Amino acid sequence: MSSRDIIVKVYRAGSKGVEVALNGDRTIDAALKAAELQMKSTEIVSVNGEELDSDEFDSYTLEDGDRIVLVKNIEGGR
Amino acid sequence: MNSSRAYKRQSRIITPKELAFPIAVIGAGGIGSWATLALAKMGCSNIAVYDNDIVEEHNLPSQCFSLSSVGMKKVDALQQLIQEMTGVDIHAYPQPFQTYTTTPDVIICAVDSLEQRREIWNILKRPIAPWKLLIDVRMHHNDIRVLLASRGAPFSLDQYERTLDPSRPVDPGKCTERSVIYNTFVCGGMIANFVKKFAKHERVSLSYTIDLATVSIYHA
Repeated sequence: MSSRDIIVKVYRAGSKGVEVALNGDRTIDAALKAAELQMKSTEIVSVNGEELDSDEFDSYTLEDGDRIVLVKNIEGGR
Repeated sequence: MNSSRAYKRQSRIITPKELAFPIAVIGAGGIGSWATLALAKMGCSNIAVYDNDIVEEHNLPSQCFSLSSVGMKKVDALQQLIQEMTGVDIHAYPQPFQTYTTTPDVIICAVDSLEQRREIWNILKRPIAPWKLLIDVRMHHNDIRVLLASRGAPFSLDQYERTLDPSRPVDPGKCTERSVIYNTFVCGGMIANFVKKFAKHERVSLSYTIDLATVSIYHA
């Protein structure tokens, strides 16, 4: 790991998380790609518990230790 | 059941005296019915429940109703059961939540759809709305999401509003894979835990995702 690498943890809710190293491109897309996860249209990305819209992915810079979780956008209550 | 002797096993965790604030439970289905029971059992004594549905047979396996509840208004059946099981007399409103009939500190949103949540949020976000904590629980089989918003924390209100964005596609799941007793039970217990945390001024995250398939919790 170089001094410019960061390590983030990527999960899809319901499966084991993976730690990935990012160098240079510190975006959500880069993290998902490194974790070999493809986001489904009915999923939401949450970074450290904060939900992001897909149009915010490019402008969001990940930091070392961030936790990215893909969760299903569910609505039920009964 | 409001004697100190009845609550001695939890007296160093939470007491009925600390739970005397008003709570509104919106929706008396899989989540709301168990949440109401859990809250009343825990010692909450001022609970209003809103729902205009009637208990049907298919509600019995996963909701807090008895065989004799079938055909009754859910809130009326719940009022009877809660009274019998805890001595707490809940305020039963056989209607959707459209306006405040009480001024709750805590609101529990346990309705079926995002559309209903948006309607409720439009009432809750008005500046004069009196609530302090919103607990919104969404569930589909193994997936449970708990979202919290605090009236005193504008960031949490913005975050919550984002979760209601109609442009975000929803995972519809299958109607035969929605609720089963273990997921609705978990939701009821989680809600009671967050109400206790509110009473004790404990810190909480804004969102929790619980995956029952792997028994994992993800939170901020």
